[in-house]
Amino acid sequence: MLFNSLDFLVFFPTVAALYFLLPYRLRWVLLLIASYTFYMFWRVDYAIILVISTLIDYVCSRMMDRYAESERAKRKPWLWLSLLSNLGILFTFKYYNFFNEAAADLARLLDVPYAAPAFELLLPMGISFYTFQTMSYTIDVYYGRIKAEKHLGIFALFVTFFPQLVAGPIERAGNLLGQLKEKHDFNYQNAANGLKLMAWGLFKKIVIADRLAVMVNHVYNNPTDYEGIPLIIGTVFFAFQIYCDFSGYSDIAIGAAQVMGFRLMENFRRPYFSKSIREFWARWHISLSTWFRDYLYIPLGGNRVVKWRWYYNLFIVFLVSGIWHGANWTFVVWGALHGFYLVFAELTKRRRNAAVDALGLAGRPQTYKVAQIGTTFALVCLAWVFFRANTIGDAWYITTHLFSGLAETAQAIVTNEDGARGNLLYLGQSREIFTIGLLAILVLMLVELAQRSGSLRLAISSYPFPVRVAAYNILIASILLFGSFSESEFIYFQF
Amino acid sequence: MKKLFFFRGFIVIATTFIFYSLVSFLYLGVLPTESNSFRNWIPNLLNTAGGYGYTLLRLNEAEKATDVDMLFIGSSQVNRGFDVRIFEKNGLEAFNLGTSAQTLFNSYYLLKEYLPTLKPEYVVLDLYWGVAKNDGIEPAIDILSNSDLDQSTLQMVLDLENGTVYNSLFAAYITRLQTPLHEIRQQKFEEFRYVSGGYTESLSTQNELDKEELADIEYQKATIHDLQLAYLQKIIRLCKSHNKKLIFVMTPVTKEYKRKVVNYSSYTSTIARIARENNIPYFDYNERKELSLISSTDFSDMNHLSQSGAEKFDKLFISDLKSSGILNHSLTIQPKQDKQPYAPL
Repeated sequence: MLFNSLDFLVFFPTVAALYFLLPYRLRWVLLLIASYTFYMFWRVDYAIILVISTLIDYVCSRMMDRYAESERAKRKPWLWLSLLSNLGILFTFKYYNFFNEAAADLARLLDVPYAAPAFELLLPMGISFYTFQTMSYTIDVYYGRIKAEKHLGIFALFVTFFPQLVAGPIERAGNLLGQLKEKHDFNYQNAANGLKLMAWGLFKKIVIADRLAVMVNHVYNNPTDYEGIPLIIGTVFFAFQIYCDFSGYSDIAIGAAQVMGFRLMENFRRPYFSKSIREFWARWHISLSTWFRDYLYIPLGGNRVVKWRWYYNLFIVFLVSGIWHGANWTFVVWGALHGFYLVFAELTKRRRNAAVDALGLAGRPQTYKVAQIGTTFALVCLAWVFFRANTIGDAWYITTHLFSGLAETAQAIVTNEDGARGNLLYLGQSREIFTIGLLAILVLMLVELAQRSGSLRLAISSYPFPVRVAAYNILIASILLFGSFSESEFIYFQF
Repeated sequence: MKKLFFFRGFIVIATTFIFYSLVSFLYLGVLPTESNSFRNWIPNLLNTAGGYGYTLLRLNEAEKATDVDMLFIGSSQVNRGFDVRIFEKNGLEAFNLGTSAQTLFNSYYLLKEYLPTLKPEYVVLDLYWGVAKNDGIEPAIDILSNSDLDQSTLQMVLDLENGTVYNSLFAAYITRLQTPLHEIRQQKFEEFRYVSGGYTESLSTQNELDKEELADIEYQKATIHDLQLAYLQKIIRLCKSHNKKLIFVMTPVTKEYKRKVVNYSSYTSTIARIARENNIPYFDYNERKELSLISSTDFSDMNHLSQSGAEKFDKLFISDLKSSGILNHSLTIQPKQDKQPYAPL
């Protein structure tokens, strides 16, 4: 079920109402049924994967719990069983064909016979998210950070909790599992704040992301038809499309959980105001970044190793992050590019600081800050080219033509000969739709600027009720009047 | 706490509805209608009444028409392909219910509404792949903007479950508060003429399609949206329940356009299989060499017939109906009175 569907508009209030009406002891049953129903709206048969994953991790964690924390050797086989099962499912559905094709290409290159069959498997929605969530659980049980959950129903709910099942935030057992057993009474502030966050998330998804998507697709589905300005606009629009698409989903997920009294972790913290790539990753998809930090980067040694090894660790983590996002070379390059940015930033730290001093930017902190934010955004956008492009060839064409033909495309836009403006500036849409897209981005940026000094939801709460109502009226009416209602899935569902 | 929450929630919903209605009314009812530039700023308040495709005239006329022999239904391929005058000359009273981008989903609701009054003996359904892959939103807005908002139209809107269509339904209500449907004037288009009975005659000059344009056609894959496949079955059942003879057709497109459909044979095989399973005749005019249509003169664009193309196509279709024994009853030519479009042009 999609958060931006009419089904969810009926589903969620029903579940939330029943949640508070039912006796406490039955609430987990309701949420478990609701979560499986939510998932099975997409595909009924694929729910079996959720069941298998749940049972394996439940059994493995319970078996690990039978041994004392010091008996790691006895715990280890169960950890491996859990990890291999989860990664095996993930590999089969998501990566098999990718690696199979890569192996076939390599075999062709080396003139070696190779004939592994390809499988036409539909990628289970949200598989990377719930797999990572359960893997973190078994790893935490293994290290004795948490005790294994004895209640199978509660554990199953931890794996499938519908607000964050298909696109995160990737929750840790330490945060969510306990909450699933707590008694949540109806709370006015929680319900009101949750609904506000859901409405804002919907605005980001329907009004910004989906409106921009049409223009982005226009360029990215036929990139070789363009050079210069349309490629730049398309790429910048994609940066906002993916941000609003994914953070919009997270907002709805966090808001929906909050209505029922659950606190999910923050997933985005105004990432496009980051002053460095390192800061960007502390603000973007936080639940995944911290997952990689805790379960890959630190086990690899983190930064407590010799320098070359630290750079290697950084690079590997981002390479794996790229592969996590999708079984395609474009994602691999996207991850590698971010790894390169971080290593390069460390390698050039001194020289960059010297350059800042030489340019006198240190004495002008505001200018310096704007320059940092601008540079970071440009680097992130450059990497997004690889994330969005359909093929590596397309991505290469776009990166090498972003700044070519600028004068020609600018002239064509100004003169508007043969209606060129519609194609090159408005990216196949009308002037009005293009302007609505721009205005929506402006609204987003203004809201995020306002959020720097604290929660905007809290600030709104301090105004008199009629003022608040007017703000809600404008927000909801904007979604209705300016939203794009083609039932588009969230981009991160494919990961 | 709960009472306060629900009370305030109700206030927010009620005031949002009032605010939304006010904005819609100001936008649709007060802004100058002549200025189209104003009309594009709220993308979800769509109203295409009297616009492109002559749906207003067609549906108004369909309301009044009764007892036809043959009903054509489908997208613009239909309303620009089946010239009712040619069928009339051959003794067949016909009505053309083709509307722009009409999908099988939309066709179903139009058939539900008009089968009881038009009472056709034959329903000719076009299965052009270009619309079979769509969700039916755009044609739904076209139909609801140009027709009475009766039960069948409302059912179509509800079944689409789409926010833009709901908004447009509201827009249609708001617009009609100011101008009732029968007072809305149909816009004129230089390149097409509406012919009583639902046909759209192409007036474009010949040789409009040059080689470059035809060479630029992109490769495409023909697919049927799951929703459309489901509604095809519903149409079959509906026609059976009304005891109407359903005929599947694939109206012709330029050979250059058809060549770019990478899986044409598998698409047409799927249609043929469904037809076979339901004992429905199926004619694919993209596979008929004897039709010998010339891309530059028999088409007004790459996938719509020009008048000369429509004449050739209709004659072959009638001949096919006769030779295959589908037209097995004697039909006498009923001289029709000079029909005037319902709304003034």
